[in-house]
Amino acid sequence: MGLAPDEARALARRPYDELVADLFASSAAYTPITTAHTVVSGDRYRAMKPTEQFRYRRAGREAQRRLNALWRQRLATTEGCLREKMALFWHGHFVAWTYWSNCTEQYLNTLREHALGDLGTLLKAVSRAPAMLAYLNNQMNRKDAPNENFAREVMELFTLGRGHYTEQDVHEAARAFTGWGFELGTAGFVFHEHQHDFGAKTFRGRTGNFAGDDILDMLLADRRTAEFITRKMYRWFVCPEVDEDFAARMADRFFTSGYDIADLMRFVLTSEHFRDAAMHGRRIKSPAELLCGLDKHFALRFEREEDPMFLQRMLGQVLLDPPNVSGWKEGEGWVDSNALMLRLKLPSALLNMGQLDWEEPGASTGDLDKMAAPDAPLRDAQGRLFRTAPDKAAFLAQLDPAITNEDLFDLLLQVEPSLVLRAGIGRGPLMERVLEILSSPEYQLC
Amino acid sequence: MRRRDFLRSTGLVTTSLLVPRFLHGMGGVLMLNGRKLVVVQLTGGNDGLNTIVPLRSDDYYRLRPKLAIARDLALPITDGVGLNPGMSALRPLFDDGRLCVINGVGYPDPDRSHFRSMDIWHTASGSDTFLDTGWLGRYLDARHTSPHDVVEFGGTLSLANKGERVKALAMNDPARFLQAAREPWFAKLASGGHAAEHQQLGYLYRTMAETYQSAGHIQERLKPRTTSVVFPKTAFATQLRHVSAFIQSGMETSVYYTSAGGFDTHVNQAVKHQKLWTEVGAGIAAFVDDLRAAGLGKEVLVMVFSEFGRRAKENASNGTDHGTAGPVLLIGEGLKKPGAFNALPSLTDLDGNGDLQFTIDFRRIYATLLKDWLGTEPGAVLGGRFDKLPVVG
Repeated sequence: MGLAPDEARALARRPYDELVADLFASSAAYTPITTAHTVVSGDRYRAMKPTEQFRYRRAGREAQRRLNALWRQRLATTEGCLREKMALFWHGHFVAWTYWSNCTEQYLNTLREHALGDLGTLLKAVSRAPAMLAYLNNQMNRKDAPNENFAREVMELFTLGRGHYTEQDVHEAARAFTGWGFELGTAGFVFHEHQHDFGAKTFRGRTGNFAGDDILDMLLADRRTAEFITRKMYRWFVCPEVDEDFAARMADRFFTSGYDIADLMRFVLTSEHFRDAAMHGRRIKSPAELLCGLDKHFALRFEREEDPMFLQRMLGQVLLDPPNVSGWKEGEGWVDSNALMLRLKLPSALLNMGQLDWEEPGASTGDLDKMAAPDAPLRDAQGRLFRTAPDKAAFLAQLDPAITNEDLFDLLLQVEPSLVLRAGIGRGPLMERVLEILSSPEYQLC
Repeated sequence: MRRRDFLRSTGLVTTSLLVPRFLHGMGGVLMLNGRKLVVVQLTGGNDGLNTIVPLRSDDYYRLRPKLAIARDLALPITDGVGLNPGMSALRPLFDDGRLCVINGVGYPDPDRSHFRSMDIWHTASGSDTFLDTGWLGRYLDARHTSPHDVVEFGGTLSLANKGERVKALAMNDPARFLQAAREPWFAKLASGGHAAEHQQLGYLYRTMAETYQSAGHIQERLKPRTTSVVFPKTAFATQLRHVSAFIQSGMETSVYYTSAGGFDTHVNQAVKHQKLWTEVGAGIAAFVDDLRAAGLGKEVLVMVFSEFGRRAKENASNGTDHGTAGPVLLIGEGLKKPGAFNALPSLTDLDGNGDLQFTIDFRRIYATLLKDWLGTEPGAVLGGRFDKLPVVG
C-alpha cells in the first residue's frame, strides 16, 4: 500500500529475503477491529419510538463508517500490512455487504483473521458469516422453499468459476445449505435444524446425505478451485496479464499445500518472477491503494469520518460496500475519463486542505439503504469538500532538499516515467515537483 | 542497475501510438443521422403499477388496499388505464401523441437485487451472465467513435456506458468538467502525444488524450441555449437542461444518459412516489418543450426505464418491495405508435414470488432504438437477436 520516503530508504538497505520474512512476521498477530454499536433484534427495533429508531439508524451508519475508517487506517499502516492487504483481496473475492454494523464487523474480522491461514477454514467461516448469509439470501434457504443464491455464487465466484458445475449441482448444493441462518443480535451463525433438508443429494456425480460443509469440502477437493483463485491472485498481486506458466505453478503449490495461503504468498513474493523488474508497475492502483499511498506520504488525518468515504465513493471503491456480488471491476475498470481527472487532481486537493474544484456529487443514486448513500458531505463554508490536515513538512523533511527529479521518480514511481512526464516536470520548488509526479498517470500504477 | 534502465533493456517497453484513432484524419464523430437518444434511468426500482395504473382491475385494488391510486385521482389516458397523479406535466405529451408506454418490460429469471438487476439492464445480459461492458459502451465500440459520442450526466460513468475499447464521457457540470480538462498540468500531459509505454500506462495516457480531445471538441461547440423554457431547479432537470444545451449547440453526441434516484419506496410510498414523478415529469416536459421551441423536437427520443418494478401486493409498511417487470416510456415526436403499446401484465398470473411476469424483453427495446432510431446494427451490440418492436420510425 506504499511507503513513506524514510521507510523506503530504510528497507532498501536490507536484503530482500529478510524483508519478506519481516513482512510475514509483522502480520503474524491478529487483533479484531471493533466498534461499540449494539445491534438489536427486529422486534426490539419495531418497539422503539420513531425518534429512537432514527437515532438508532444513525448510530448504525456511524458504526459502519467507523469500521471503514478503522480498516483504512490499518491498511495504511506498514506494520501488519500483508494481513490487511490479503484481507482486502478476500473482500473482493468473498464479496458480502450488510446493513448491520455488527455483521459487517464480524465479516471483516473473519476475512482478517483467516487472511493468511488456510482457504478451507476461511471458506467455511465466511460461508457462515451473517453478512454473507444475508447478502446471498441464505437465511431464506429452507427445506420447503430453497433459495439458490448462495449455492450458485459459492461455485461461480468463490471456488470453481463459471462453466464447471451444472444447474443440478446448484439445486442440490442449495438443499445442503438449507437451514444455515444467523441471529442478528449476536451476529452468530445458527443452524435451523427444522429447516434443513436431510435427504440424499446428488452433487457433482456423487450421492450422499451431504451437509453444507460436505459441499464446501468437495469444492476444495477440486483442483479447479486452486486454479481459479490463484489466477485471480496473480492478476491482483502481480500483473493483469496472466503468465500461464507461473500461474500453474501457483495453483500446484496452493493445491498440494492443502490451501495454505501464507505458503502460497511466500512462494510468490520470493519468486524470481515476482521480483523481475519487468513485473513492477503493471497494475492500476485501486482507489484504496491510491488513498493509502497518499496517506503514507502525508499522514492524512481527516477531520470528519464521512470525508474519506466520500473520496472512496468518488474514486469508485468504498471499503465494505462493494458494488455487487462479483466485486469491483479491477484494473482498467477503475479508470474512466472522469475518474482519471479526479485522480490526477487529488494529490494537490489533499495538500490544499481539501480545496477541490470538482463536480458536486450528482443526483442521488437512490434511497438504496447503502451505508454510504445518506451522508454525502457538502462543501463547508470555505468551499472545501473535505477537511484534512496533511503534514507536508514531515514529508519534505524526509527528502534531501537537493534531490534530483530522477531520484524523485525512483522514490515515488513504480514505472519508468514517460517522455511526456520527463519533459513536463519543471525545475520548480521541491513540493511542486513532488506534486507533479503524484499527479501523473505513472503514479496510478503499482 | 536502476529499475528503469532494466525496464528499458527488456522487451517489455513497446512503442504504441497514444493518440486515439479518431484523431488521425477522422476529425470527429461519425454521424449516421442527426438523431439523439436520451436515456432516463430511474434508480431504486420504480413502482410500475402506480405509474401506469390499471384502473379497471379489481385485483389491483385488492392487492393494494392502502396504496392503490383511486380511480378519480389517476390521470386517465386510455380505457381503463391512468397515469400517476404526479405525472400531470407528461399528460399533454400523451394527448398529442408524443408518449408511448411499453408495459411489462423485464427479462427471464429476474433478479431482485438493485445492483444486479441494474447491471443486467446496463449490460443487456441475461440474468445468468456477468458482463463488464455496457450496451451503450459496445455501441461506442461498434461505431469506432470518440468518448463524447455518448455523454453521461451525473458524475460517475455507469456500466451501461463502458465499452471494451471506448468509454463514454461522464460529467456533472459541463463548465467544471471543461475547466478541469483545461488545467495546465493536465493539458501538458494529455497533449504530449506519442510516448513509449507499457500497456497500462498506455491506457492511462490514451484515456487522458481522449478526454482532453473530447473536452476540446465540446469547448469549441458548446453554446448557451437560445430558448427560454424554464427548467425546474432539481438535479435531474438540471441534467436535462445541460443535454438541451448540448443538442442546441449542434454537438455530435448521439446518446445522453441521465438519472433520477429515490425510487426504492419500501416505506410510506404514496406521497414519496407521486412527488418523484412530479419532479421527473416536470423535468422531461421542460426538456421536450425546450427542444420543440428550438425546432429540434423531431430529432430527440427519450427512453425512461428502471431496474425493476415492484411487488404487486403492497407490504406492511405502506410501501412495496422489489419486484420484476415494469413500464418503459418513450417520449418524442417520432413515435410510430403513441399511447399504450401493449396491455398491462396480468395481475392474476403472478410468479411464485407474487411478481408480474414480463411480456417484453428489455433487449427488444434496445434493439429497436439501436436499429430504428440510431441506425446501428443491434446484433454486435446486444450479442444476440432480439425482435424489434414497431414503435419508432
